[in-house]
Amino acid sequence: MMQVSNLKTYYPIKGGVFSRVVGQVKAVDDVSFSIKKGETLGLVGESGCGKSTAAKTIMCLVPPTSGEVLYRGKNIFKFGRQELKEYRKEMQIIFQNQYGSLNPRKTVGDMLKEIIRFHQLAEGPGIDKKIQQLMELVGLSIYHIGRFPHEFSGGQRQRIGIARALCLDPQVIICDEPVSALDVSIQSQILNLLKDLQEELGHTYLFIAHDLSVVKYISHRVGVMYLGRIVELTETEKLFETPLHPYTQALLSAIPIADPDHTSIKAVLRGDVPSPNNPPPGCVFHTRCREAMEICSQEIPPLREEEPGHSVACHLYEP
Amino acid sequence: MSSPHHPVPPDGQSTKPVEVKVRRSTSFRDDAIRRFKKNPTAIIGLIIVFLFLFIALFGAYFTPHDPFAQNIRNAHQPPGDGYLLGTDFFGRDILSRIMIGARISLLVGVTVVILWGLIGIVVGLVAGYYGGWLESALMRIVDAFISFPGIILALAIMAVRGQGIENVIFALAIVGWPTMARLVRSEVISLKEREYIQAARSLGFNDAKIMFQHILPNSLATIIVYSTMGIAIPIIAEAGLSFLGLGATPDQATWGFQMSLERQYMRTAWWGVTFPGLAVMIVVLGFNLLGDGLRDVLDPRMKE
Repeated sequence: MMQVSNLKTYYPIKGGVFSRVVGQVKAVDDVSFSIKKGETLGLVGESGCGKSTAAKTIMCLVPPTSGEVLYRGKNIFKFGRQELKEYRKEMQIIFQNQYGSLNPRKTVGDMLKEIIRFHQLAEGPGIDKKIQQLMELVGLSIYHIGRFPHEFSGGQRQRIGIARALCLDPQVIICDEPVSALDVSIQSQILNLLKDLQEELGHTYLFIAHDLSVVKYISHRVGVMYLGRIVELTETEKLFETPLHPYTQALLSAIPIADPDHTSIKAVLRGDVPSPNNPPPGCVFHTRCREAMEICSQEIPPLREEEPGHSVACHLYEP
Repeated sequence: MSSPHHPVPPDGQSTKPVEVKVRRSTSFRDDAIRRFKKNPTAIIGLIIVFLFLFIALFGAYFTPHDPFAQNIRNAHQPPGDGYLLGTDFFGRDILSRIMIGARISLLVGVTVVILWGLIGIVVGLVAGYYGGWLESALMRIVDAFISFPGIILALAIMAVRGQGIENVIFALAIVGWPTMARLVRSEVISLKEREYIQAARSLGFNDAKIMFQHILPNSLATIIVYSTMGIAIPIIAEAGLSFLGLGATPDQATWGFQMSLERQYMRTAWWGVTFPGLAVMIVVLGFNLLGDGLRDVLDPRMKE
């Protein structure tokens, strides 16, 4: 369905006279993955590791530095104006911040109507009918149609965001931390809604989160990102049962277990994430890795398949 | 937050297709008008603005004296006694001159600010939204205009184009729009990073639609406030140009011209400069109060 290969997105750091480019923030550095139709690929990582930038690049909201994204075999970065408009019908995004993602001056009805009119999805009474269907699909009542975003709760707003994404009947939906700003009880409602919609409409999701339990619940496969790179990519069960990369192991051991007698040996990470504008040479994780070897500070380990369907980027598993 | 307009009760998850009415436009408008009525300062502002507009349009028909009739014997009569606000150096009734001057002064003030808006909003939107070299180019032009002292630039334009009110409007519009463009640009830069603008882009909306239908409505508050405050600037600047002999011609009456004529007699006849000045002040106050009220009313978040 979608094939991302060697995607790089660098943000320039400007400074000095005439705003020269004095450095680069390597937000997404050589990321490759593919998504199959109807599956959910989770992307996890700490804040600032490039998850959202990857999503925005795939949505053509941020220009890529290099690499390509093939959608149905075509490179989206080479699309013309008309092709891009068609692509955007098939590809939608749900944002993290439900407060900022809705225009405060438009009612829900106006917002949806604008999309339907712009893309000529329906006409006359069909417009109202489609709005009504969308509202019911995401679990809102039709009496909500005339309301402004500030009149809703956080969970309801996220439902409106989902309705907006569904309006164009997309194939792929990128969920950019859709639940991380919500209460736990609301989180499960939204996650279930997304799951139900996927079963009903056959969506493909790219699901970005920093909460491992959320990713475990919703994803079929998971990619773990660290400092702009994917360090491990495999099926959800495999990742949680046999994590290979030391970073993934550390992440998993940090999940609290609700049992006071349980004592686990935690692989606690020391130090901070290095700055993405000056990443360490070699493996970006070697500065915090307990298994670090000499080669780790010299060579960047490629993401390679250790077992079928389980890729890892680590020198420990080099043949 | 009750919605009396909607036919379905809150618990009614309707399964049958119900006639859906998006009642926003009427209910929001009703609500906006109701909130405006509850806002006493906005009402005062509206009354002041309407009063002066009325004077500007029809004041010429019922001035107590002929605003142009000179009578040296009546020079500098104090307020009262037949001349409510006194007379000027030529013995002309100041009240009548304020009434007749409202026409040109308001025309200049309002037209110039509208022109600022037209140019400044487009330039600011384009520069802020597209960024890059286009922004640099447009903003350097803006900087070039701002780097001139405003009155000198206006003088130069007037010197080229000659005396006359339409040239005053032209010159002051040229001098003032860069400030508006900068203001709009700074708003746009902060708004375009909002997620709802990104969402609009990912929905495939074209740039013009995003700029004018999504970003502009959200920066209206700033633009309205600046515009209503800004009305005073051209009214005063027109006075300056008239004083230098480049604005209104002596056969016309404007508040600014009147003030500049009477300024030198301020110590012996304070009324000559004070009352036209008060007229400027009250008009600006009126537009300000109105603009403040409009800003609140136009923001749906203030809805009760």
